[in-house]
Amino acid sequence: MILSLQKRHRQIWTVFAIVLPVLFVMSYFYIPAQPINPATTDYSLFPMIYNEKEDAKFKIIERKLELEEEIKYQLQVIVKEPIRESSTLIYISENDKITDKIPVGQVFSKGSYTLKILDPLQKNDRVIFYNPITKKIFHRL
Amino acid sequence: MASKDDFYIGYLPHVPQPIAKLIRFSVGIMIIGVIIFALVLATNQWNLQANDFEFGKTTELTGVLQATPVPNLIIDNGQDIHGNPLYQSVLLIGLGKFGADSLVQHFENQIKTPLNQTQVTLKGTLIYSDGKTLLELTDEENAFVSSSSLDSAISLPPIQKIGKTELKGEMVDSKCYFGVMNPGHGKPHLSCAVRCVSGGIPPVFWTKKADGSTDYYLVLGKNGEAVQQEVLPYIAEPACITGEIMMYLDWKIIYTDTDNIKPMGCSGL
Amino acid sequence: MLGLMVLFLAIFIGVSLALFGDKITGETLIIRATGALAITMLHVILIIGPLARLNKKFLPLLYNRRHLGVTMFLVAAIHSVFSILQFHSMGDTNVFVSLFTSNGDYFSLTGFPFQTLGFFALIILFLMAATSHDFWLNTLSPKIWKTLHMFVYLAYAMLLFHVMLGVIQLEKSPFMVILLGIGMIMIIYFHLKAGYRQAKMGKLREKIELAGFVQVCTPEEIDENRARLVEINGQSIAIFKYEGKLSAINNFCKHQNGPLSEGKFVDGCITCPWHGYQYLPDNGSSPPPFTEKVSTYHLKLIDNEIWVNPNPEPEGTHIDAILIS
Repeated sequence: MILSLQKRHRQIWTVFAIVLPVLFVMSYFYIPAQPINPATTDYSLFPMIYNEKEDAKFKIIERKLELEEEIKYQLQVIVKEPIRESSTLIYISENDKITDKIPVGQVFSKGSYTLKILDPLQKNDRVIFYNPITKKIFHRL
Repeated sequence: MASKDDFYIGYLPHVPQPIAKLIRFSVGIMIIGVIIFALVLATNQWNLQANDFEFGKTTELTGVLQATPVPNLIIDNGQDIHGNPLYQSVLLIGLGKFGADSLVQHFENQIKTPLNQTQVTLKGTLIYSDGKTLLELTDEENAFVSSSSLDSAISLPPIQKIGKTELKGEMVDSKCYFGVMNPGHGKPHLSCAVRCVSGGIPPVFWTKKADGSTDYYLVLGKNGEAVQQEVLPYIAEPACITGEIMMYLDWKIIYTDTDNIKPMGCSGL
Repeated sequence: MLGLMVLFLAIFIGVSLALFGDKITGETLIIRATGALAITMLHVILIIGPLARLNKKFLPLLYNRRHLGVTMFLVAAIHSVFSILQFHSMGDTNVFVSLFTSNGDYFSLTGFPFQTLGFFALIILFLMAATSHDFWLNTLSPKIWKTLHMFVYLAYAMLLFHVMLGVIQLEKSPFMVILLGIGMIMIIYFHLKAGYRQAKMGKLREKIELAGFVQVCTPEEIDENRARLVEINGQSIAIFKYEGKLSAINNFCKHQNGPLSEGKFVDGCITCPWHGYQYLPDNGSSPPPFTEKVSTYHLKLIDNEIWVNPNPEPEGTHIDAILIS
């Protein structure tokens, strides 16, 4: 490099040595953060747990509600991880034959869903996760 | 320095030993550097979503076509044990960075009937993420398969009013966010989200909650009209939005206007 | 080098697929792998120059820098084409209009449209890659060519912030920021160090002038077959000691303005450290059939002190070497 370019080189890097680190630090520390909204549901409000089971993706809580003279059963389905299916219906069945059965409900995004059931779950009953679009069972619990 | 007299000339076949040694050493350093760089950069991709876009695979969906609040297809999944209807709303999206409005209008002309209470079968590519499903009408005008009038009118649950609230989150385009791109949010995706919303794809406001769950809101104008160009400046950056929340089947909707959308976190720098 | 690039891509793609294979899309993987590779390569390219200046033993790497630069441009071009297609195509606006208008936060730091930085850096890289052949070096003249190629520093600054204001805003990983920060500090440090060392090298302790001649040093202060650099009145002069003689020629090689004073007297010729161009010490001309010529300068040896006349003779003028008694 000839002398004028050497001088230019020094000038450029002297300016860079000041400007780049300052902008670098600023551009990292001023990254706008993703804001968090308060949670809406406090599950501890529903203590009457009758039965529960869970795996990595879902948690099932069965509740028995004794209301006046009536006893009602609820199935709380907690979707722990986003479901990677286009549609999800919930069935209760002791085997995979669900075509003649009526679904207890559907679930969507990660979160908690309360479904009303008529009878308590039997010993061999499983909660079946069925995709009506692909017509496939994709999960059992 | 013992090797002071070593001098490398590129076109000579012989490389002085100490130079060759140093070059071998620096190549070694570079190999280690390359491994470290590649590992660090590859393992630090934390913001990928559990998204699916069934690219190359089309699915036929039958349901009731609705042009409002945004073009969508209502899938009837029967009834639950109490007789309540199980509906799922699948948003309709155009090909590329375009919404489905003009296509829906085209279908309407094709069947020569208003869309409401008409059952149609549409062909497209499924996009889904975290319980939300969209259908890209990949074949555009040819995505329309068939239509039939319903035996009995379906009774949609009325759009349910939840109340006025303030949400903090990020506005994105529904198509990329729920599957076509991954990640479909944040600054790297900003331009794409702007193009998509500008092209008529319904904007979605997603919010993170303290319990780790995520909520999604379709964004509409105060009177339920589509908002596209007017929200472009607020896309893909943290924002605060105030509006009336409604429930339409499995979708939440926020009715708002640009006066009630405030960019936040962008400390003015 | 190609091996290193393949290794990088193999690790990046392999690890990404192993960890996030169920999520990451093909386009995202291509964009991220090529982007990561290009910025890594740019660091290597920018470190080679000052490293070779500071330690002559790194000079062999300099011979590979141009190929590395052209390859890096190609990798960056793949990154750009995929990004443009992914983020801007199939929309309601021309992709290039979209590139500049989709994000209008030009007066914000964190909101700045980082893609435009990548676009302009790619243009610089393209111009450099396109003019990388010696044909352009000769056509444009080494000075203009080198000036053009110094825009790589601007490209680096733009790409640093293309990354910082782009992907880092989503993947806020401190590890990536630390790596980029270390890279930035190293690049700045080496360039400053090489630059200031260069400036110091040609400086005289004090300027003693007599009848147009300037006192430099004693012959003992110059190593055999090597040179002492002096900068006087804007002239950069390399005084070589060889075979018991002294000769002075202009410091800048005609090829790429390489520093001849850092070269060596090999096989009867002064040999440039950058690409091995050669000049005869007494007339500053390349041996036939080559035609490169540099200026020569008159020397005097008085009381074992070397004196140089900083007024250059026309390029290729023969001046008798002076003997060291």
